[in-house]
Amino acid sequence: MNLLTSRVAIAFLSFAAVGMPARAGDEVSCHGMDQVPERWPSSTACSGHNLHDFHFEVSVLDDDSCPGHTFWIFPGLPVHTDCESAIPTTLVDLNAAVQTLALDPEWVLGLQSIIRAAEHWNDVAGCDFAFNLVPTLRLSASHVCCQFFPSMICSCAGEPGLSTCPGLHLHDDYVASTGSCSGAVTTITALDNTMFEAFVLAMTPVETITATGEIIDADIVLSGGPWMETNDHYGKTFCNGPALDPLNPKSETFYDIEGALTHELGHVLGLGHDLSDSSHGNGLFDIGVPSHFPTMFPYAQSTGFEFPAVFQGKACTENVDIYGEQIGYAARTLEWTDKAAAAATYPDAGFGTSYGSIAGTVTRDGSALVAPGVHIVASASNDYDGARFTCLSLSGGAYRLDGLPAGSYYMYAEPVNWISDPSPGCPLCPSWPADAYFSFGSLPSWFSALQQDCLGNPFVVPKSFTIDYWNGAGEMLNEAGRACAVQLVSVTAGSTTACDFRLDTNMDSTTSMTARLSVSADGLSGTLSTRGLIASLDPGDANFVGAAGKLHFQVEDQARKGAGVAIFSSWGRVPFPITDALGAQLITCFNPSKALYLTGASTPAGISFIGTLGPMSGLLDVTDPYMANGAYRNHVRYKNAFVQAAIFDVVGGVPMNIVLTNPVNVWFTH
Amino acid sequence: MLAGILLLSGTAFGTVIRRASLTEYVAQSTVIVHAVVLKTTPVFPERGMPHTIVELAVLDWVKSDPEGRLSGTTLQVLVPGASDGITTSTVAESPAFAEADEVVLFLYRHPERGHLLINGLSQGTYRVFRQGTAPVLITGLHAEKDESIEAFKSRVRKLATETR
Repeated sequence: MNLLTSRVAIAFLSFAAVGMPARAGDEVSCHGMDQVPERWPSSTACSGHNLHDFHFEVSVLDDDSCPGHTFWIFPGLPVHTDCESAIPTTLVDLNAAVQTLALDPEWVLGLQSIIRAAEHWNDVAGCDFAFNLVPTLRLSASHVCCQFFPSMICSCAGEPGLSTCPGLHLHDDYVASTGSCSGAVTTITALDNTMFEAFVLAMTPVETITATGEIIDADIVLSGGPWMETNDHYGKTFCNGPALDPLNPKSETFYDIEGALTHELGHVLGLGHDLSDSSHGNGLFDIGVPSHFPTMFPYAQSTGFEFPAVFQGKACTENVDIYGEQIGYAARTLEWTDKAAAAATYPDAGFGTSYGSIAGTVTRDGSALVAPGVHIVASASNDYDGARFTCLSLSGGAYRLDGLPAGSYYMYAEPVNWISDPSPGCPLCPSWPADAYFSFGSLPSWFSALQQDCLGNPFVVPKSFTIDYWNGAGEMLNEAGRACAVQLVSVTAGSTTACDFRLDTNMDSTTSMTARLSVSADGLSGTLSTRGLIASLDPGDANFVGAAGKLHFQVEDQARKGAGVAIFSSWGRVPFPITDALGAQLITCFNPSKALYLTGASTPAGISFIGTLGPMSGLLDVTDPYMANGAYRNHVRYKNAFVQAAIFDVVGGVPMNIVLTNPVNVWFTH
Repeated sequence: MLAGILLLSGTAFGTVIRRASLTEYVAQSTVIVHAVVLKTTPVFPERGMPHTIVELAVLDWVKSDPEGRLSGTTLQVLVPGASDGITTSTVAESPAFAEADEVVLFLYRHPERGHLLINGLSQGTYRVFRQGTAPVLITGLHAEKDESIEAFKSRVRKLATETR
């Protein structure tokens, strides 16, 4: 259940629809089709516990002869008792037990983190599993510590060859496929550092029966230990959140242990990683706010001061508040995609009728061939950042997203050109071309079923259409999804909505679709690029393209495709007072950050065309009244506009075969 | 302001991995090799994490060991996760290799045990693609689109020199 197996789905070898199974959890929301889901077996109660109940048996190291050798004790850091106020009931019980046993309160912090991490998953609706914490919580102070690190010749009860070991043990009671009760033990330790290098914080080896995907064991190993005090670069320091002294001189890099454990417990359940946009560090074009952070994302995020880490650096010591969103502990909070994955893996009786699904097939090049390995994203139209579900098309080109709440979703497909781990069966599995052209097998409904705001303008909800990576210098580290298509589909509970995609890798025989957009001040020409661009309207800014006012958009379709074009923009998520009429209307109508204006030859709206885009390359001048409106500008502290264009063909009088350009982020301040 | 928003740095989870730049990967790697996989051996130890021993035939030392401990024509690398066909131990983001896979690997020498690990697991793994007479291409986290193996190695060598 990791990207190791996910690459099976991406493999070029799969073009021939070879039925190589992919594992559930490659994409956390992906289920069904021909996958072999990795999950704990489902059966009836065992050992007095309900199935999928993981009960804690904590082997605690309270032996003074071996202080500080449990992962929740952080050498050199002060003892904190002022943890977050929202203490679950289990912690009360735990604290009582701790008092009885007169244990060091420091490790209580660690247990609090573990319990909270488990309870995040327990709270998922639609699941029949639970980390059953309270009834079976047993504290045992009798375990003997192994000698000292890093020899790590320690052992853990319940594991073959391991009899005692500091760490947390989750007893996984289940009925194995053999019909016998199994007593696998999931250990959470920070003992084995032999497999860690500079970049990995934690690992969860999940052992399965290869043919069935049945999980038989899973253990969490955190990188850490006493050596982390030495600043050895492969030692990482975990902490418990806001109680940590930010001035602690030991290290400037901390990782939120509760977030890390929540992520790793997701792996214990059999879930894999999510590839949705913000999880890859994108978010710049999510109107500047990365509000979609699946817990099961593959990377710890950055330490940029306005783009804080989930696990690293200040985010662990400061609950950073940006635009009203506290994202310093984002990994602790499950996104919809995490919940859907867990629920679909362990569905309860009501899951099938409470949630809906979207399923379809990605075909390529005239629909004669299938296209596995295409990243499919569904974003709820009313919560495009928060409710985002992702999936890869699998062998046969089919994909399926389960566990979706009823509602409307914007669907798009994109190539995944960051493929770090092709499958063993495919020595090199480059992704679909980044400039591949995605479209829908059916009419894109969002062109024919536009909503209207109170200004009478049609709009759709904006979102980021790229998974581009950027570094601190504004250089793109990677790029993908230059072109993708968007379609609005409706999901109802208990049913499956069909949504097929087409992929054309051979546009115009020789030239791939490469749609480009630039934005500049009126009368000037901006840079055309297939990449995301930054266009600052502030003199002195490195990305200055001209003074704010009437804007000049240039759209070019190098592949000479397209009969029409739509330019749309959305405004940054910036809290600002708006008192003029226009602004008031904006605020009244909808959250301005979610307003996306769409226009076209048949839908004149907030943005008006000055030119037209023909079947050949062309220029398009567009005046955005909001951007150009001085009164509006004067009431905005600073502005951040997300601009993107869609080029489309018109077939039979209807637009279709939509391709999106690069996004342009327009900034200006005053 | 933009610079702050754009700031990205690099760590990954099993897996959490830290996202890092190519420069950091080069700097943190003891050696970087262009190699072909000779053999993979799954190991399910009584203690410790299941892993696979990957034996490599080194075609090119893109970054050599500054201390000279690693040289020659073959190397062994330990990769988390293993499969013996019956049972499989997987670790998210840990790469899988098959015999004859051609790769460029960013390797880290464990300071105490001396074994080699792949920095960042899949992030430090690049695959080389040969198809007929077409240019030999490479894919991976920091490889450019349609970048040739030689161009990539040249970039890495330059960074290795700069960060040494």
